[in-house]
Amino acid sequence: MATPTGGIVGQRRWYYPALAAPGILWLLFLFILPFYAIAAVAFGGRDQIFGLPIPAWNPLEWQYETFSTTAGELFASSGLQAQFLRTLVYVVISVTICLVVGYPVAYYIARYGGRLKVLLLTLMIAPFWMSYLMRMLAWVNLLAVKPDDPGLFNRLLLLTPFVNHPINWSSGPVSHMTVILGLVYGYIPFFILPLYAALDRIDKSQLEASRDMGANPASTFWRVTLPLSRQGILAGAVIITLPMFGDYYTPNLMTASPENTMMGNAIDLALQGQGKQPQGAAITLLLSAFIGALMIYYLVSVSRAAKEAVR
Amino acid sequence: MVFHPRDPNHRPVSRRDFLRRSLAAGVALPTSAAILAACGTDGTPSPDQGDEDIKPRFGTLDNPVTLQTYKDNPPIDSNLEPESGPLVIYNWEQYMWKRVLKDFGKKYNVEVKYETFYNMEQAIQKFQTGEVDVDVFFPTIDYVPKLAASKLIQPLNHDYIPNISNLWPVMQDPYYDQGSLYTVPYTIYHTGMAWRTDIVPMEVDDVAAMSNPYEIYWNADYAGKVGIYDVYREALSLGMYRDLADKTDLNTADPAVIDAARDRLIELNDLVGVKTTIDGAYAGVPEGKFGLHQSWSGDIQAGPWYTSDPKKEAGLLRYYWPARDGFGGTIDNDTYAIPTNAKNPVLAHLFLNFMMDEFNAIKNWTWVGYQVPFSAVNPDTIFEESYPGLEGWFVWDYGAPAGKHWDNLKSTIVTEEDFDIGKRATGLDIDVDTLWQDAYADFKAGA
Amino acid sequence: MTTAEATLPREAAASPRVGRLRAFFSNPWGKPRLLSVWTWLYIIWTIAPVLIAVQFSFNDGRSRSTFQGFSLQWYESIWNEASANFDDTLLPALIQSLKLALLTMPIATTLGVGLAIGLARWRGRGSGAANFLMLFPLVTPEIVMGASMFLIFSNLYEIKLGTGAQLLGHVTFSLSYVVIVTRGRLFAIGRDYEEAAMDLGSSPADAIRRVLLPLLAPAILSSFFIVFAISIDDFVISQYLCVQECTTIPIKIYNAARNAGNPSLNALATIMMVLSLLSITVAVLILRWFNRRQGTGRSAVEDFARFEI
Repeated sequence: MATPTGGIVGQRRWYYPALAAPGILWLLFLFILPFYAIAAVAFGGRDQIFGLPIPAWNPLEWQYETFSTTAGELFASSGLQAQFLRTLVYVVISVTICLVVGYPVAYYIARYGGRLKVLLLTLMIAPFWMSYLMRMLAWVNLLAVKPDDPGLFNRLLLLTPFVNHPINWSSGPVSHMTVILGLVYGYIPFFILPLYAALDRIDKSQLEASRDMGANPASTFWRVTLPLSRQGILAGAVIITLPMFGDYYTPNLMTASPENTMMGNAIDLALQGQGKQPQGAAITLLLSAFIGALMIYYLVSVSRAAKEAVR
Repeated sequence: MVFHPRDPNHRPVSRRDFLRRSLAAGVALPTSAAILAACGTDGTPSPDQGDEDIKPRFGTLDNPVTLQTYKDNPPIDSNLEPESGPLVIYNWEQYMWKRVLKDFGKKYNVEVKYETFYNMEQAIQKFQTGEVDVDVFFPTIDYVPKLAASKLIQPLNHDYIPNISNLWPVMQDPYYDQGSLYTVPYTIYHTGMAWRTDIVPMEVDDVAAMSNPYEIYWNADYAGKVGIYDVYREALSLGMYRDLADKTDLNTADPAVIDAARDRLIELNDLVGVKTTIDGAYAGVPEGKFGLHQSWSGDIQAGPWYTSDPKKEAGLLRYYWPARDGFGGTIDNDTYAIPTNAKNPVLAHLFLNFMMDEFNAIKNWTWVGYQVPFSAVNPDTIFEESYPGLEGWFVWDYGAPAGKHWDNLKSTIVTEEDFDIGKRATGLDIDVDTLWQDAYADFKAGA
Repeated sequence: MTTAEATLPREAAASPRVGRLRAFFSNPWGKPRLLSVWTWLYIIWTIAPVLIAVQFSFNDGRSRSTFQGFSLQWYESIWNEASANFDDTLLPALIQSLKLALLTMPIATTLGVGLAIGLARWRGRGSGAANFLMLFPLVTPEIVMGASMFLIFSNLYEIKLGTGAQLLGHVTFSLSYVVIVTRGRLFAIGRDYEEAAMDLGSSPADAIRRVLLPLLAPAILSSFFIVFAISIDDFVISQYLCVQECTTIPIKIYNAARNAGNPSLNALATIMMVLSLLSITVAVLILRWFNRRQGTGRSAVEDFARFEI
């Protein structure tokens, strides 16, 4: 029963931070500090023989030429700008589709799961234990067109009256749809799960109260459920939007076509090129700055909510 | 892969894919004029230039170059006893047949280890930091001058490698390393076009008769079926050949020319929705995924194995190198070199000599699929009569009716004369190289 | 209520079938059928392509789009040297993936649980920032993480790229997931038990060790398996931090999908999927076992799906 001031209470004060310390240090050295390496490479020089980057660790020695050229490209009509705008369009469309497709699913399982809830949930979680790449690969195979075989998906479409000849999914305007399909397919589980978690937590009695007061289902949804689920939608949206901005493997797998490349592809190409690592780092910085604002908004609001929750 | 050549599933695998996959860098050397001007030399041999001249010397066909030698990086002495090994080879994955390595090991009673790298840049970095301890390395010719200048590879002692005389003269004294001071050539190949006649209904003669065969890519009839290599030098040079044919300078530093090539590629994309791949030639075309694809000669040579039914489809494959009719084309080779800090330099020299023995080199060819520049390789006889001791091992016999070969692949064989007419892509100065890479990045961005 | 009763008789007069159909769809007390259909369509759309891919892993031919008969040849090509399509790079990739996952599990879980508990109970300055820091990796694009680690390893830390570097990368991004999962459970448990223990005189360390950790056990064990599933599926970071002899299954799939792939890819991916499935199943079963012992109202799967973000 004793609580001497210097003893257990004192220990209490530093104990928890100490427990968190290893994790924090790990993240500091392996997550935060590497960001500094990007800056050091972006603002550094390169070896004239092999083109290897010479990072400038001292901010006073930073050279801004590469960065400003790259940034300039972003604001002028150029390949990089085209990629950036295309990425923006892909992400906005994909996330919207994820929302439209995913919300009803999450809502249904949360609200009306009933006896099948466990089964539905299991099936909903299923994509998490299927490799992302394998799911993409599955689609690539379904869409692939060969001279003697239009592909399974085309064969299905040919059965409908709308489609008369096999569609080539990897070129032309259709290719954009293919990549968006890939993005939606890949990321939607990551949207639905947090959304489900939020919807599940909504107190059913509130919905019943709304019903008891005479609102029809549609009205209850718009005026009670939707606002309550806003945090969940936000969480799901941010969890897929920000990583999607850096996606490069989905376009590569789905179509491998220049007209579908995203910012991630620009970064990937630059980082692998001899002498282009400073440029790659510069593009990374620019991308991070762009999504940084979104990131910070989300993190602030969520961490505030989380801290209140566990207190 | 450990296939027996008589194994019906034996197939040479293209190592070009690993070579190019992460090697967007590829070739990066300054134009010779710029460098030579900077060095203050006129390209005439000048050994022992002195340790002050550490700039890489890049040669061209017009200005062949002798690489600098350094007093503190001498070749090994003659008449030394071979070490006890193990000999460590550092090469691209699957770019050398393990069986041939075993033969060497048996002959000299040493163990041979095969280490691989996926990325030339990383390999170079490992050399610089001294991380790797290997005895034989395989730089591409654009890196050779850089490695020599940085003293990362050692000059060869020709007393140990008499078999070098088996090579074609042009390969014994290449423009990028006159006198073969540091390197000897490994595989040779040219960059042409490969297609299947059921999608692109043209014969080689039809293509050769075009006003510029390179225009074949820019044909909307083949939309969705055209591919080029995902390698910036090869892709942009295609654009240049389209405009300039035989007048193309593969090592140009002129931004206008580079941008024009890029615009050509963008046009190509708009017209046919071109794909950039690394397996499009050795697998995509045989599989029917592509009708027409840029192709290294060794890639399509491996084609029959990748068709789903070689008896029906291998005969549909075609390969054409436009330089043969005066339209310009790229030809290239890989090299062997010995790192300065090799622990077994004598063994390494002996290995090079062993690999320049005809039989061993050709045996390696049957598995690797990429050709070797030997005088014994007569394009006519090697095809029909094969090589004594290796009958039926070559890929152009795969799936062919008994006693016959896939004649349509004969054009993939590189001849000595090809080296007189082919263009060489040498390294580029870092800044020039960046121009090329940026142009390619613009194309890849779908601008 | 009144609307339904008012409309039904009128519609029944118009056409019995339409009326019943409408009633079926618009019964306010029944399950909304439209949503139900939508959900099931979604599930089919998500899972069917994968099942097809699994089917092709048993393909008798080389095609990944035309089924030519049943055969186990592609599974054999992974380990059986005598098999026709033997590829000696597949098994090392599988082993590398497993190796990384198994090493990441204990490290990430230990650090993550400590971080979760610490963050949850930390009351002083810096807790907000630490929380912020922890959430950061969840929303960072993988290429940014991969590129930054690649650059700092090669240029500052002098860490050689390869398995070790990959391990560091895997732990880094798994950390946040462990914290999220653990924190959900921490919230459910509440502080009462620990507080009681400390009121009775134990130190925080003891309280955690003897009271909290046993209660947290399901979350900790679940984290283990979640980390396994995440790590085995990671692509970008593994690729960026690898130079040679550290190819994992996702890297192999990606490369081969862009090259001439054959169904041995599908076989590898199926194996990986089965392993992940087993791993998540074990996690869920553990949760269920603990739930039964402690009698919370929800099933384990629900619990699992409800983690706090």
